[in-house]
Amino acid sequence: MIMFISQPDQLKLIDAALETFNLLLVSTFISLPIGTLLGMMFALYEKKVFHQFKSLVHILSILVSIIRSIPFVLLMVIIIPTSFDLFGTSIGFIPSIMALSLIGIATLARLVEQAIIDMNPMIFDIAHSMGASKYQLFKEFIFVEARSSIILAFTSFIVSLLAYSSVVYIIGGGGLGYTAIQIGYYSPVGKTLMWASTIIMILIVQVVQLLGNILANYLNKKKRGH
Amino acid sequence: MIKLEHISKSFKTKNNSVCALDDISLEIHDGEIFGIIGKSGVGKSTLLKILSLSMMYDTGTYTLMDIDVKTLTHKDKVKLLQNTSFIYQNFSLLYNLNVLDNVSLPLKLRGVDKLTRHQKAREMLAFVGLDSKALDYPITLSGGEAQRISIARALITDPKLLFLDEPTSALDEETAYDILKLIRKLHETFKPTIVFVSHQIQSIKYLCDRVMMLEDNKIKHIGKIDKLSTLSTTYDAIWGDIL
Repeated sequence: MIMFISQPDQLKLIDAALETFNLLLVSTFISLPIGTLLGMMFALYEKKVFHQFKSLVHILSILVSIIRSIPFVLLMVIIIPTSFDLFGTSIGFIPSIMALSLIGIATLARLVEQAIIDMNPMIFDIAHSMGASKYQLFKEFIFVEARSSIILAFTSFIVSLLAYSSVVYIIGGGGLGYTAIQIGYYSPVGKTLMWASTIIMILIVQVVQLLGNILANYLNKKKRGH
Repeated sequence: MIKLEHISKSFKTKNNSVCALDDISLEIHDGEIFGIIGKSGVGKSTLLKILSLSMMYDTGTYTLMDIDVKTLTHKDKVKLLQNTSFIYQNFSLLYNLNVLDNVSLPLKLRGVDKLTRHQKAREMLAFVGLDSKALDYPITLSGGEAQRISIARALITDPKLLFLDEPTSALDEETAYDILKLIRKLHETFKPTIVFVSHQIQSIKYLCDRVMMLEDNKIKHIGKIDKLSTLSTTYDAIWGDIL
């Protein structure tokens, strides 16, 4: 494949891949801790482990649902004025990161929430009967029993972020999506770039999914043969 | 050890309130095995949840180890729970931990170092006859083995009070008998007070010094029972054996 791509196009592809990598890295760095915390909080409220700040958690849950309901293209456009007010820029890397982080937080919160809710409900009773503190409930019970589901949730979250990152070029975010559509698809001579960008994205998704599956499988001792 | 005076509990539904326990008074003495028997829905599980501090009652007084539980802060409750252990019907092991780590988990929560807690866990595994399974994962165990591991885990903290919630219900007859023998052995060895909840009359008769029968969310009978007397299989017949 690489031999069909001219050297300037190869450089464009490398730049685009690095841009996508950068978008993914920064938005993951922001949304992973926040989304995980929110997801755990939602699940533990549902399991009645926490009772404080009920209204706040309820509002946050509604916000997450609203963010997930807005089509991502619209979300990017809605964010433009906020990005301008906060950072003085309405296009480029910053609004792209804002949009990706928001959708990342909302997506991951629901994935983590589901992973914890799907755990054996007895875990909460067992932890209580052993006199476990809230911190021990997380560390010794939830993270132990739900760890492979949480790893799979992280994997799905990164794959979703990659998909979303392919459209942030609309607000100047660049990346492989820009190379595939604006340079590749709309250029009379650039179809190779479109296919090359697509193949790179497929490869990234396959690698992320494979690594996620291997790690989740390694950590999951609920299957015979471990 | 345990004293309940006029304990009542109801659950609110959308339109009305459903009574789960009505005016329960009883006393369980140090070192005895006390049985709670009754059909499904009579309040056995609710009573056990109240006794094990995972549910609060509406009215009455509950004194556990000479402490009125209504006066307990969360911290006190956690401290008190460290003197108790629970054995569930469904084995309740953590499937991502091996047997040794499962058994030693209660000590880990108390901050005991790894060497000491593993040493104690191996002693407990030897007591239940499963020291060879220390490094296996729960998925590889049979139902009886999993319940033995649960017992080893419950014993590792030298509890003064043991709650057993239908520990043999999910087992076949022969395995259930082995588990009952093990419970008797642990009582002879460690002398904890045991609250044993079951709907299986045979198990109650085999283990308990005294028994309470719940019916319609109230106490129907409470009294001593002649261990290992006739193997009656109906709820009414058992009361012929009460002394």
